[in-house]
Order: sequence, then structure tokens, then C-alpha cells
Amino acid sequence: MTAESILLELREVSITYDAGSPSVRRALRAVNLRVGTGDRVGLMGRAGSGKTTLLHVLAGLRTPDSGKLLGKEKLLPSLVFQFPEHQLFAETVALDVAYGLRAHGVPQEAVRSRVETALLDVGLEPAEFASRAPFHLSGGEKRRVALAGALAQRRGIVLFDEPTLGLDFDGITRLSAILERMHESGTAYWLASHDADFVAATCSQLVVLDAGSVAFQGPADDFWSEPGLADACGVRLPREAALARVLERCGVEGLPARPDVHRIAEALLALWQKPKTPGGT
Amino acid sequence: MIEVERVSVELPGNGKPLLTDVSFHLRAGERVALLGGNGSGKTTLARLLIGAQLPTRGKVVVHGFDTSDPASRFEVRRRVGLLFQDPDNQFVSTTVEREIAFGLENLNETTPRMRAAVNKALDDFDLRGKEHSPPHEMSGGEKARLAMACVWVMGPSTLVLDETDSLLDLRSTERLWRQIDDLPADTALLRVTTDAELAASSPRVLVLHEGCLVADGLPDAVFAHLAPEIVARVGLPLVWRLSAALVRAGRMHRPTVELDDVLAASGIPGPEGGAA
Repeated sequence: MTAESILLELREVSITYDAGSPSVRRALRAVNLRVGTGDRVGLMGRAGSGKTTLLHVLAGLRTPDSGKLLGKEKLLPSLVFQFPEHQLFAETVALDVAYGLRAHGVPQEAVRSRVETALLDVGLEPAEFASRAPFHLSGGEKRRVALAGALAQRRGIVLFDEPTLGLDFDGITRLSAILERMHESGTAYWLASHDADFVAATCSQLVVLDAGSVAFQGPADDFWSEPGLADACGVRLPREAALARVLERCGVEGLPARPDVHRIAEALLALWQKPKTPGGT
Repeated sequence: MIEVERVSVELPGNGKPLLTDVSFHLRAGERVALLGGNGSGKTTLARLLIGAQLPTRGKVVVHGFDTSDPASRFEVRRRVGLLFQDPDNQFVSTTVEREIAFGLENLNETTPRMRAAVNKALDDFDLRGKEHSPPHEMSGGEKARLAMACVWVMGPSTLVLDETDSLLDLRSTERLWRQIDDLPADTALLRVTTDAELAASSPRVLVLHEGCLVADGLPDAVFAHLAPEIVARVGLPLVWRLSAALVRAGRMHRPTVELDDVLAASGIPGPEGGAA
């Protein structure tokens, strides 16, 4: 990562909860990380490993107990919370999505078009949803409204905490497409998630935390191709990768670390073409 | 046993009904998945089963108690445990220990029995050392474990999990399924999910779409007849998609969610220790 491409940097950042009490917990331990332009980073690790705390530090919501967050204030990222429906408060969906834009003095006409674009991006038809009360929507629909609010702000970095939680297949597919468009337009994203399928599909790099320390940092495929690593860090494998492992144990050969379903089918079909060993079963 | 009979739910000011004419029975010991996309009515249905939502028409009967009868509410809630998707929605106490004991206090349990139950729950759900922590300050996964402990100690005869494992890591999910396996054999389990993959692992799958119950049966039969607009919302299980590719290649007769069937059709023995 070149110096120009670094947007935010954590240096030796530590966070401790309940210091001095019996339930003291060191959430982050001397973490060094850089957020760069074009990042598509998945943040993984078992429950309580520090993922949410790290996102809060990057978003400027939590000041490190020691160490530093370096970066320009105007680059402060948007954060989509773990249960984003708790972020909703306005009378209508449109007013809620527009809130951050109005607070930053965006002109009325621009607000309207950015709200409409953001609602369409998350799969909510403005004509049907804009004037509805967010509190009458289903859980998944509320999440889409909160996501629209973050997207409408068009910051350089967007952080997501468990973004697929409660979303159906359609919602997850749409979210993947949104991330793809964000990437194409130069927006960096970091997402903390237990959803290995989603992370594998949308992230090129991984940061894996274990008890507040960085246990892995690098290309996602390096992580997925080392099964012992995922197990040691308490991280699930993507479903295709897990199925490939099962098939390998059954003697199916030639599968990559993270095959798609067609590649797995090809490997099984190849078994029919394979000449039988003389005398074999 | 839970009987849901021709239930509709409408909210004033909300155009479409949340549920329309839904009927099914949940028998003792059954393991059932309730599959549906966002806004399909799953959470409304889960809330009906504990009487937190009452039907506009039709009725819900839990072990002989009609949920619409205010006098039945206590009996309904002690028999059906609902684990919400967002654990914060169910916490009311200032410490983990008090939170676990909260439901037991309402059952008028004796102090020694309550103490024993709370201690067992602290161990079972890996919350030892957190007894005095405030629930709202714990991590997402810890909150999910606490929420489970609170439901578990009540010994419900039906357990409803509303997308519970979406916030759990690998170890916590494995622990949850071990604990579910250890439940008394007559405990019914309804697993609410948006994920076709998870639904496929249940022996019976109910599918909700736009407030209507559109399928109820074995996973293979359900996925074989799902309309395209429903597949677009919930997807299809990986093994189903894999077997469909083998059907297209003429190597299997019909798609399935059973990996063992795919392996058998491919002429390979199952992996040691069972399939995925």
C-alpha cells in the first residue's frame, strides 16, 4: 500500500472494557492496520474477538485507550451498525435516509435524487416505500432503509457490521451488487461478518482477529486454502469450500480451495469418465 | 402440540395482511424449519406462537391453551420459548445472573433450585465469569448465548429460534446444536430462517411467502415445487444445486438436498464420520 493510498491507519491501538473490574476484557491488543483506497476487506474472527470494537475505532466512535487512529477527519467512514434498524427514527423512510444529507447541508433537490437512488440501490421502490413509516416495515426491510441512509452519504469508506444478518437471499444478492458498484466507483469497504459465503464472494482481503490481536492479514484465498487456519481462528469455511473438503475426504480429486458449484459438478462427472482400476471395486 | 388454525393477521393502516389463512400443526418432538424471505410474515408467525401477537381471524392453541384467552397467557409462555433475532430485544435485567433468573422468579421457583439452574446455564452457555456483567455491554455473540440460556432454563416444550445462529460464531453454533440434541425428545423445535441451506437440514420445511403458507413437507418435495419468485427470495441449497447439475448431465434422476444420495449416485462411499 503506497502512502497516497492510505486513508486511515491504526497504530498500536488497544481498547480495554471494564478496566479495573473483575470482568475486565481487552478487546483490542496493539493492533496495527491500514485502510486503503479500493479496499474490499472482510473482518472475521470468533464472537468477542474485537471486530465490532475495531469498526467503532475506525468510525471514530471509540477513542483508543492507547495507540493512535491516523487519517483526515473528512475521510471519516460511514458505519452501518449490527442491528441497523435501531438507527431509524424519522417519520418516513425518505426522511430517515435523507437525515445525514440534510445535516451536512446538501441542497434539497440533490437530497431527493440521492434518496431515490439509494432506495433503488437497496431494492426498495421509492413510490412504495418513501412515504411509509420505517417502524411498520419488516426487519429485513428496515435494514435496507438503514443501508440506504449510509449509501446516500457517499463517503470514501463504508464499514458494515454483520451486514447480511436478517437479509434473505434476494437481499444478500442485492447487497453484493451494491458492494460491487461501490468498488467500481472507488469506495472502500470493510465488513465484519460471520457469513463466510458472503465474505468469500465480496472481499479480496481478510483481517482475522483472535482475542483482540490480528491473527491473519492478507489475500482471502490464502486464508481459505489453509483449512487449519480457519479452524484455529473459529471461522467457518464458505459452503462450497466445506463441501469440497468433504468430497476430498471421499477421494474426489482436483478441486480448488474454493470451487463454485459447477466446478464441483465437473469433478463428480469426471468420476464417471475415469477408467476403473483392474480388479478394483 | 401447537395448532395454528386458519390464522390471519392484519394491522390497521398497513395495506397488506401480514398473514393470510395460515394453518399447520406442530407435534411434540418435531424438528421444523420455517423458511421465507424478508417481509414474508415469519417473525409475525413466531410471535403468534407465544401470544405476543394475536390473530385477527383464526386461532392458535398451545397445549390446549388458546393464545387469545388472556387467562392462558402465562401457560402459553412457559411452554413456548422464543429466541429473538436481536438478543437486546429480550434483556430486562442489570446483570447476566439476574437476567437468567428472571423467568424462573416468575415461576415461583425456590431459591436453591433457581441457584442450581442459573449455575448450570452459566456453564452450559460458557458465561462463567460474566455473572455480574451488564447484558447490554457484552459482545454480540455473548448476548446471543445469554439469550439462549434465559430461554433454556425455562425448560420449554416448544422452542422457536428466529434466525438465532446468524450472530453466532462456529463454536457457539456447534454448542447450540449439541444443546438442541440434548433437549428432551418431546421438545418441538421451529427454526425460523431466510436461508434455504439451513431449512434443508430439517426433516420438515414450511415456506411462507407474502403472508401465505405455500409449502409444508419434506425438503426434497418442498424445493422441487418452489415457485421461481420464491426461489429468488430464499435461494436453493448447495447440494440441491449440485444434484440439479448432475440431473442435467443425466447422472441423477431427481435433485435432492441429501449429500449421501449425491455421493451414492456418483459411486463414492460417504466420508468417514458422515457427510457435511
